[in-house]
Amino acid sequence: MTNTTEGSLVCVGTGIQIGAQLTPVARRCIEEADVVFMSVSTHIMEEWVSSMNSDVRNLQSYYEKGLPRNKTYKSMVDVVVHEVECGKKVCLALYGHPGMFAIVAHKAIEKTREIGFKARMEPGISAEDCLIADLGLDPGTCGIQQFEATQFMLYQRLIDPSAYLLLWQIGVAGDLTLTSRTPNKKSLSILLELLFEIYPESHQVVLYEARTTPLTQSRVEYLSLNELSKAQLHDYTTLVIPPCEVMKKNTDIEKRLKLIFT
Amino acid sequence: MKNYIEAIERISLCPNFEQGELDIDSLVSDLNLSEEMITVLKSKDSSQMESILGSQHKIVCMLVPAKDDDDNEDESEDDKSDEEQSESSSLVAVSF
Repeated sequence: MTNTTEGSLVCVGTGIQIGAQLTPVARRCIEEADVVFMSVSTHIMEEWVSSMNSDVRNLQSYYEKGLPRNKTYKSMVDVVVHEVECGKKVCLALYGHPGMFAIVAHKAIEKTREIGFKARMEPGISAEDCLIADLGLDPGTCGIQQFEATQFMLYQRLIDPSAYLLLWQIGVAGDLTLTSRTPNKKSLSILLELLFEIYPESHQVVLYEARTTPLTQSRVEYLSLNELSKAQLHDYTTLVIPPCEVMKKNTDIEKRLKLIFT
Repeated sequence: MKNYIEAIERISLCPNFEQGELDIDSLVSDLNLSEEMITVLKSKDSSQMESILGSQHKIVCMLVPAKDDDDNEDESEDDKSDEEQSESSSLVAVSF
């Protein structure tokens, strides 16, 4: 049942590059909201979002040093939903795509709907979109599989070596405390052990960071997998691993399909 | 700062900036930017821009890599003392 008061939530993405990737509908949502909560990647982007509405509140302060990020996210959700409960038209503006590796937006929408208010998400331009454009990848060519790096380590995943593999947040891979922003050499070496079970040590990979302003360039650094431990990694660095095998045809399925379509 | 943001936004919307075909002076002439900033924009000096405008990366992580087996168990953590919460913060299961 929808609540009869006016409160509502819309989650929008700012895109990755300031000024260039905010969709018209996302801008409208920011401009017309009673209150905007934001979590974006740079101070300049914060200033940019703040210029669109007189009541923009920064969620960055919730990232307290040493506090596990899951606690941080819960606090963020609570403060956003509270304003909806107060009858405000709330906009949550997040870096990139609001639903891409962004648990706060999903949880805030879920919680808002649970208590009977309207909530929705508008799509945005994500780091993955920038990566596809900068590296010239097409998911249709051989497929792309992607995981958050720590999750990739924690769970037994079936990796297809004939498709691309993207590992997000490689710079904090294996950090179970959810407090770190810098790489841990020991956990990185465990990640490499896992990858060496699938890929040759000399396999060429890419470190990717999308550019955030028109003055900067995206980071596209080619290196071999065994050089990864020496590379400079940030919490926003993505590891791109191209296929090391060609796709194997399923001849049995192909025969059956031919019987249908010939 | 507002005019700096406006300048960056205008440049962002110009696809030929990369090729150096953009007349920065005329694009930002009405914004009263400092000479320093105009030089930064013309030279695409990103490190200098960072120091002027603060474009260093902030924390943007917004996901958790693992899920609790029982979400209710996590909910009950809200009632724990600070000490207990501190102990539980290093748990592998991190969903809320």
